[in-house]
Amino acid sequence: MYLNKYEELILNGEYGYIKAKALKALVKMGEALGANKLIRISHAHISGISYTTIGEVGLELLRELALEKVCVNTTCNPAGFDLTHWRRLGVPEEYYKKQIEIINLLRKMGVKTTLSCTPYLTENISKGDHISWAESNAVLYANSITGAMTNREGGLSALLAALVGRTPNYGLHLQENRKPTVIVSIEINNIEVDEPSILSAIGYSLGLKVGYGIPYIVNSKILTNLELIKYFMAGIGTTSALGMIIISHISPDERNIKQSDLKGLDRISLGMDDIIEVYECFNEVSIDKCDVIYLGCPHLSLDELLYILKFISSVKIPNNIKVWLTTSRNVVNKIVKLGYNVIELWRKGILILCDMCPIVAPLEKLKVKNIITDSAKAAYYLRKMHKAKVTLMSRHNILKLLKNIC
Amino acid sequence: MYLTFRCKPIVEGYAEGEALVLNRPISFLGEVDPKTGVLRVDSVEEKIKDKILVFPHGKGSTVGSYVIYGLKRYNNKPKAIINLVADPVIVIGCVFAEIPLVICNSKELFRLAHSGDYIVVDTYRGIVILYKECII
Repeated sequence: MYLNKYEELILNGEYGYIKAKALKALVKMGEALGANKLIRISHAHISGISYTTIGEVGLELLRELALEKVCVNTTCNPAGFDLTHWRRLGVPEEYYKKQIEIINLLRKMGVKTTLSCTPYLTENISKGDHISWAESNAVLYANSITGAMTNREGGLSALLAALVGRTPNYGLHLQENRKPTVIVSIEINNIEVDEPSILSAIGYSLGLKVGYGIPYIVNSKILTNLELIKYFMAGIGTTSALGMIIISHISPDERNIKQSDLKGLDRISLGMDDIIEVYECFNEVSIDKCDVIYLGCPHLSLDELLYILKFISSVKIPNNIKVWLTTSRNVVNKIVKLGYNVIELWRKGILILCDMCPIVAPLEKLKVKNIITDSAKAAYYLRKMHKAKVTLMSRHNILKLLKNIC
Repeated sequence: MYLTFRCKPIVEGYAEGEALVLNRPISFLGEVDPKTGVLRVDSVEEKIKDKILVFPHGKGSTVGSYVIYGLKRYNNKPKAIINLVADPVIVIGCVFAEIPLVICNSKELFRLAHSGDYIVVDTYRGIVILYKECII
């Protein structure tokens, strides 16, 4: 692999052994995957910052890496709790201490602790930008909707890239690789397109059918709502290694497809049966047995949160149920400015939570076992990681149920 | 009898041992516990320590690289990993955990290999050798 003078100096330890170690790992990775050189990145987004997922091992590694600073704009994924409401949530102090140490280490490194899985909603990323992003839903969104260029980085490789401002030039950083490998048609009509759970179920099913490569979705009537398309991406990211899809009339990379690129590609279709299968796979909790109704995987946008609040803020939530709404901190700041009283809502059983994601929270310690959600990604990981009982239900039905319950 | 397959070395090393084969992708986060080294996928529940782990590719969470690194720190790492397609999440995990990793794009290997087979991974020669118990 070609390295320029500056990169050689980093590798030789002129900028400290941490940066040398980071560069060495990236070079090793790049050489194995056929990169000819490193390229500069303008942004990095790192995953794996929750004490639940990385534990003592990850913390130790961060303590070492935090001797150096990142050299590009870097944001990070959600942590294990809301920094304001951790005690109210029931997070043990021992856990709090560990998670705060991780966050402090990230801050020391110069990472912007956005603690959100939707960096594409807040960060200034444009078409053609080379970036190094982890978090599967964000990678898919950046490549497929924004037209930025990133491989599906691991949390660790994104952090190493942030430390040296570079990533190996291979895979989705090369225009010639951003071409379809399979053609997909979604044969579903007459359903609500503004429904997160359906979008997440279609994505989940697509990921099961197409594990890797770049699917080209040719009839995208169902994927017209750009605000909700993140649920589709999150579903895909859960069941596959896909880092990019091309959606007809939406993805910027579609214009680079030549007719000859499509020759000989397999065609598959997704139908209603596939979607129903996903709902059937996550169907264990009825409303009277559930502890938490969870909306916000990926994090809710301001408009989504306002819509949900308009619907339920006057509802008397039964004592045994809590509604968890996760979003980013800047959205919470905005709704506070709009006059919503977060503590008052909390007393009603509506928990507006930022900085966190239940998937990476110490859920067992919070005594949450039975969850209804509108996200197939959340359903999958809550079951896998926390042995929670889960039901995937449409947001529409969840809100209706809540209204009728009182 | 044995069959030899060409492979692309990703993380170097030589390893031989008993294969643990899955014919579906793995999400290390959620499906592998680094502290116990147990892999839980559908009905499969197996310790991966010292196995030659064979599966098509990674899927899901990008935190998987930390889980793979954790396997090393908790002394539960597999002897080697064989994938059909390279997934950066697994690659960087293996680089840090020093687990030999190869990409073998022969679907034949994935069709023929079964858990319990004996497999050699040799990145220096760029080969995987599959010993079939039934035909030895």
